[in-house]
Amino acid sequence: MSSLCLQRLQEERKKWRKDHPFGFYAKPTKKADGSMNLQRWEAGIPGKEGTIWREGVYPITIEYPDDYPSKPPKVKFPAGFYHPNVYPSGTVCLSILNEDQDWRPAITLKQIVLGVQDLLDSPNPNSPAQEPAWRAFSKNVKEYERKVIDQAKKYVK
Amino acid sequence: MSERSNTVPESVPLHQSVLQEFHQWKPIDNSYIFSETRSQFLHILEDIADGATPASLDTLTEAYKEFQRLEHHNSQQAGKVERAKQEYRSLCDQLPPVSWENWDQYRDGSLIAPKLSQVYSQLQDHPISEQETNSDDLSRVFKALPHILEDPQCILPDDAADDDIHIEGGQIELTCPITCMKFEKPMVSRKCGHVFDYKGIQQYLNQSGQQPRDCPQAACRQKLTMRDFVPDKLMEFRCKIANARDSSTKLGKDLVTL
Repeated sequence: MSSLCLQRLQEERKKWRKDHPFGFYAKPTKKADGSMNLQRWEAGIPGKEGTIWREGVYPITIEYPDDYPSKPPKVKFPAGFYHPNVYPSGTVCLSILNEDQDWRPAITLKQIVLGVQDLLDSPNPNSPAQEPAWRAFSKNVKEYERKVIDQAKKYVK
Repeated sequence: MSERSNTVPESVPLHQSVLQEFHQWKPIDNSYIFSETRSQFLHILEDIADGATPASLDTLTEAYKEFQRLEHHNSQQAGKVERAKQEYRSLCDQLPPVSWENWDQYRDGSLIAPKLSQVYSQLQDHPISEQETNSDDLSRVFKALPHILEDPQCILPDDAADDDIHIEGGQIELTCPITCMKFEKPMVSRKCGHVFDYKGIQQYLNQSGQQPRDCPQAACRQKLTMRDFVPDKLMEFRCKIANARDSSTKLGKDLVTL
């Protein structure tokens, strides 16, 4: 790991502990030997009030590559997560997390989790990442909403 | 022509053999004096930022303006000497070299050779153009200093209108957006004005080799290379002032705990 990556992640952690958006959590995972793994975090994204996602806090993992912050972290929901822009593996498809699109080194953890929260209730129909949720979202809104609400119960706050 | 000037020509063209020597005439190069003085100014400013010298900023700012005026004057003057030399040379080149055959013509004024002193004094009649805006690094710092001594993170009044780029919650951040650490060697992009620490921006831009890359600031569309970056003196001063404050409040606290 480059020293810049490590240094930046330590600062991200400090910043998060000092101030983070309400209802979210984020923490580095532990390695097998009990030491902190700054390159792999676990975080929770609360669904926005007033949306079909509101009941849940959705767990994600954030993996930072060695050349972070030049390259973006990879954000994943649990495999099989129901959302039009989440791949079957759980990987989130979001432009600010794509090196070739809108990723910039200045984007912070806070901006990432807020971006993912926004994505929950505002899927991008132009970049489908899975069949079931995308099909339902564009063809059968009733079914889509029911599935989303069911899923929320699984991750209830 | 007077009687006296008829005995010998008033002037003759410069002889080929002295041209070389003529070319080597240069006004005394005193640019080192200016760079010396400039760095003196910088040291004084740094002392003020560190809180060492009681700031009599107005006098100092006036002195710096006078210095800039002199420096400008000096470079204009040197330019004039150069132009006079060229003009004199080209006037001489248009004339036949002096010889016994044309001696009389030079004497009676049907051939007139230029005089260096005249060429030069004609150029002197052109007024020296006043410098439009004195916006070098230091003069920007001078202008900003009263504000940033008050609050190192403040937004400068002039910038507030058209320069909303590094504003966050009405404050200028003193940390690099890439490293998230305090600036050590702030570099500013001349294209978009975004500021990053040398270490962070260098690592980011080096990954693409010589290819320009998107500005690291979110949603900025400028394509940048290392060549677009220059040291940000103003940010250096902001940090210096902030650091000086931090250590003095820390000292205060330490004294209290003692």
